[in-house]
Amino acid sequence: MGAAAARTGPLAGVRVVEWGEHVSAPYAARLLADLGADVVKVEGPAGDPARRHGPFPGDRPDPEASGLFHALNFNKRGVVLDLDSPRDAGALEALLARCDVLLTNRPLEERRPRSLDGPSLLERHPRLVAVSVTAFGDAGPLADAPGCSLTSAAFGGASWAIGLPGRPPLTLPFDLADYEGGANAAAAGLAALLTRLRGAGGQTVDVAVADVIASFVSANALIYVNYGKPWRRDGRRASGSGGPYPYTILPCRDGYVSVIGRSRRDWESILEAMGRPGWASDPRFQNPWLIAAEHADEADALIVPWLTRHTRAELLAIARAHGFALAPVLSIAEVLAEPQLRDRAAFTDPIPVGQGRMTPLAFPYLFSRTPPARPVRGAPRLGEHTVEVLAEVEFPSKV
Amino acid sequence: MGALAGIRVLDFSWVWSGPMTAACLADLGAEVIKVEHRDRLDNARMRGQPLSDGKPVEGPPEEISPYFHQNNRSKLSVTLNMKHPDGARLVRELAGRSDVVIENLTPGTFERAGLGYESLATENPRLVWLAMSAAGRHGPLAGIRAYAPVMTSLSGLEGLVGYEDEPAVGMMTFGIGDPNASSHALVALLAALVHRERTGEGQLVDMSQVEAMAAPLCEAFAELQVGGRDPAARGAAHPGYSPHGHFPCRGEDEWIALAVASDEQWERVVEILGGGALADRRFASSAGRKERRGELEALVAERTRARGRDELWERLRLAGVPAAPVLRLEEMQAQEHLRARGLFQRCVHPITGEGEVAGVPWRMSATQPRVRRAAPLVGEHTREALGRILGLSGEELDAHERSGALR
Repeated sequence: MGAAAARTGPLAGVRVVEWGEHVSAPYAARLLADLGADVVKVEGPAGDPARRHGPFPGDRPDPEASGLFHALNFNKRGVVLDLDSPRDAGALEALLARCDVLLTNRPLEERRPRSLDGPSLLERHPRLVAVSVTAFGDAGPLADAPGCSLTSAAFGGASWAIGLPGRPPLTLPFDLADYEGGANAAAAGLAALLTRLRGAGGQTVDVAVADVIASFVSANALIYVNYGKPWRRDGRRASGSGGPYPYTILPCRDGYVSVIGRSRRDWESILEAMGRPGWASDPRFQNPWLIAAEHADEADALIVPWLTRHTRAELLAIARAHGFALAPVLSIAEVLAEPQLRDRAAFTDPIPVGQGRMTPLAFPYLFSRTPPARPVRGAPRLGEHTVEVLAEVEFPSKV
Repeated sequence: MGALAGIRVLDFSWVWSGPMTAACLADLGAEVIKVEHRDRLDNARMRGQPLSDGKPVEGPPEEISPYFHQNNRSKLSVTLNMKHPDGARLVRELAGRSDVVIENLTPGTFERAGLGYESLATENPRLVWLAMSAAGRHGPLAGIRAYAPVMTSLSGLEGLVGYEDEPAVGMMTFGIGDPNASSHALVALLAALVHRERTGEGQLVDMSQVEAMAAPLCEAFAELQVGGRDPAARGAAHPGYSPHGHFPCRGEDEWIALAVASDEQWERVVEILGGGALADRRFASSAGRKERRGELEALVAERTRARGRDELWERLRLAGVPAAPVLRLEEMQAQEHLRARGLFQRCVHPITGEGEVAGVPWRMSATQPRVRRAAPLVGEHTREALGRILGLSGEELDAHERSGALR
């Protein structure tokens, strides 16, 4: 039953403790577990709230069968510790003494009184890499302010540019901001671990989800504002087409496609593919930058009838044949069926979720020398590995 | 001392996702050499004439692109022509003395020049090669042109962005595909470097940007695979909480993001928004609020509409309720907290002068990433770097220049 034997991948042998809830720290920890790290998830007696999120097989709530919890926590072992009890706090210390990386998204106001904030941890465990990922971070005027994916996307400048003009702004869907925070926390933790392996000590790492989104937006905005296009929502089209026309989602016969042209040549290719319609010689539609600035709606209205005669698959083939970029807008079910993803074994084998099951997409990367193991281990039942893990760190169990 | 001091990276990548990954390594102290070719420059350099404060920026077009400066800060630039036999040989020799290669070019490009991973790894088995193509190095979609909307459309993301019960709108302005790919690529690349540090072994890491965009859509995949429902866009709502979304404030296009995750937080919100109909017992429980979401959120919006955005945010924040203003770009870049966290770093470029770039959004207590220098001019370091790293003399470099290898 020992975990270490089954883990392969570039991080085999790296020990991680995750003290997290919901998305950001659990996703960060799972990314490391996917690559072979031995990850122990610490939950309180009530369990990670994600256990109550669902969806549940048959829509029957069951803390051991929450789809979101399973998607974020497979590949990990799980222990239950009540940190209000001195004994369990001692157990956590024993875990931390033997681990390489701690990932947490607990608020600072919860960590600090327990001396589980970064600086306190580093004093007791100088070789530890202690990573926190929170909405606003552990430092700065808004340190430890309450937040979530919705508020991070708003504060980071992303939400302003999503949605239809004149309607309320939309947000990054399905808590995506917290996943980006988690990916950055995982990367930052690995950078610190690498530094330690190269001869340094441990350190604290503070990742704020709002910072992550703001950094993405700041880079992206340079395509727009420096060329006279505002950073703002423009519906299915990028603001001002982001330069030359087109850069937009348009309807076709069986759904939507995103159509992209970044040059005069791309625009010519699109017109070629359409069989050079009569309007192609209209002076309004010669220069894709002019179209973007003044005639985008008109051009959309002229292209859509052609698009609606073809399916997404047909349009993808036509675009590839003519050398311009186009992609079908896929639903989640269609992504699951997409041959390219199946071909690359991007999915794990099925893991049980109560009476149901799922096949998470866990491996967007292939490693030539250290392929990570799959099948994977399912998500832990609440407290499933408490006895086993405490025995490994030689902490007497209370059984 | 940088976290990656002493590590040398060859960056062959273009535009955003690859260069961002390489820039992060450079900010962490690695020596990152952007390998360029004068006749085919990274098209991030060639975006036309940018404006600064409404006025055209002066200088050679390839040196003044702010987008290029952002994603290529902290790097050196060496120009080499891989298609020239001497140029290819110099690339091979450089790779022999490097630790990492990063590229996001169409699969097969390097192999055709005799510079593929397998070939270079025979001479340098410690080499870690990160390939970040759109859809991976093999399969029916390998070689598809990689633009952000390709990644976000094929991964299912665009279809999830929209108003409830309306056709998807997508999020074409914000190209999150690239920075998402870069964030996940850094995990894989740093993991490979951890392995190499412990064993001496390098390897090829083949990442698909489409898959990297699908990976964080965990909840949507769970909705389908466990819940049996192909998920649709849900506006700014959340299945577990209400109120959760964007609410209008006083003025034109002013919005506050508000997410109430507990009954205690809801009690604070009721107080702050003036009680009355909001204090209705039917809204007191989370279940009650979710059941009556439409009615509840309309009532909340009525109240928020009469309030100043920032004043309301301050009160909610101090009361422990998750909230934030929906910031405009300029507001975000001037935001005191974001600036205090050191996100925006000063940079002086020899042609465009003083400016700011967004740095790596991590705060590390011992090895804080920081912008090391401005983005390089084309070929700025060709002679210096090749002379230093490959021990080439001035005459040898002159000969390579004459032959066209150093274009």
